[in-house]
Amino acid sequence: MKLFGKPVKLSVALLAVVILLIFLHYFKILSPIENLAVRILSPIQNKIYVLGVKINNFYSSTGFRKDLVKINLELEEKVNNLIIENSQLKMMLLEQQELDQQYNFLQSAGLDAIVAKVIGKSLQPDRQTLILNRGQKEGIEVGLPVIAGEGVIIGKIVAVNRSSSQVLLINDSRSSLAATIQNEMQTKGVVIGERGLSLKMELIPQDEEVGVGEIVVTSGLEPSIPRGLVIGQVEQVITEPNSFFQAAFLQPLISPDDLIVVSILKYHD
Amino acid sequence: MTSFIINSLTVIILGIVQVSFLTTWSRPVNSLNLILSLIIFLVAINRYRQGLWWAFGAGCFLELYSFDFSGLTTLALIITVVIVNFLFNNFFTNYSFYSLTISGLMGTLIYNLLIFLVDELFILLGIATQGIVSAALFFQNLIWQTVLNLMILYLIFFIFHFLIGKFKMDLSRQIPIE
Repeated sequence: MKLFGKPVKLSVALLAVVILLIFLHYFKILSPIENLAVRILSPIQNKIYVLGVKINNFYSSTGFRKDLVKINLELEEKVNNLIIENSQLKMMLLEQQELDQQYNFLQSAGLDAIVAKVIGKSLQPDRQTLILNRGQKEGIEVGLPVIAGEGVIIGKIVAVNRSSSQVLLINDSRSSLAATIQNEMQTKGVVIGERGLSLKMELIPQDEEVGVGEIVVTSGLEPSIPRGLVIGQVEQVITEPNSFFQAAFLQPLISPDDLIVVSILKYHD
Repeated sequence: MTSFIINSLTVIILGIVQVSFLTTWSRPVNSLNLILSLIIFLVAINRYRQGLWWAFGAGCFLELYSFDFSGLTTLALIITVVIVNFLFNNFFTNYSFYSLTISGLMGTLIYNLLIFLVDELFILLGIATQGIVSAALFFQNLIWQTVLNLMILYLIFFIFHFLIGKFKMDLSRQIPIE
């Protein structure tokens, strides 16, 4: 039995080169090359990412929701034609609107942020993470919150390279955020991700009244995450009589799948 | 030199498509691993040397956007190529549709399990903090990835067959290699 086949030397040589590259990576010798590659490719990647998001949205609204298409056939056709005709323009407009919204929010809240473009997602589909084109070079650190729209938190930075960083989205099962419900009692709890599908607020004291439709925001108890960033809206409250706590399912206000531009909030006391 | 440039560009384009395009699609389509499928296909058509180079090149490119242990993706791709080639050399008697199915299946399983095991080992040793979200979700995605990778392999198989005539449709016959 042959394990490596004919080009045995090539297999061993490539494995040796990979091991060498791992060492060079850890001693940061490869950093300039890695940065250059990411910097050169990120504009192309952002364009392709936006295209992917558009195509996916197009199919989500037409291909997989045939019942809605049947009801609104004529209207959908017109909209789809417009989407195709103006796709380039819409992409730019969307990006600009997103930037304006984030800029207005940051101005009014007096927060400092770094704008970043989304250039990819995790290679492992079970992980809800985004790859951004900003990294250590721009002062990005692990733990910083990432927002979209008008102050809607979408996740936290969990890994940083020199020119890119990774955001763990709030709907990932490993994500948890200290949160407050905007009601009279300012009810506190912890928002966790539910397998990338939804958000759940736990540890809500049993004696506090929570209503459907109430807005949930960050509580400001975590370092570097300011108070008042919107997390979502209460969709369903789960109360069990024998439990000390109640829970609530939240409706996120932004779909992470549609994000193109985000803002990373700088350190906040 | 021309061949090197063409192969490098192809690998970079495939890498960009994998990281920035396929990942934007909804589940389960985003489970598709196009690069892995093409590398397995190269081994399946007796282009082991090219498969190894592609695994190395694509792995290095994907490392730029991977936040796992550095080198893991490249090592997993190269080891997958070596094992799939080993299976072809010792167990598969011809380059048929069935051989392609088994190599696609084995390649996808080996690649993902290697990443899963190393990730979990590193979490256990405290070297890494980000592991697999849940084993159930991981295996659900693995099933989808296997199915989608096989579909892509079949597509390439038939395109290759019709365009180049390398394969023959009579699956019972042995196909000579080059």
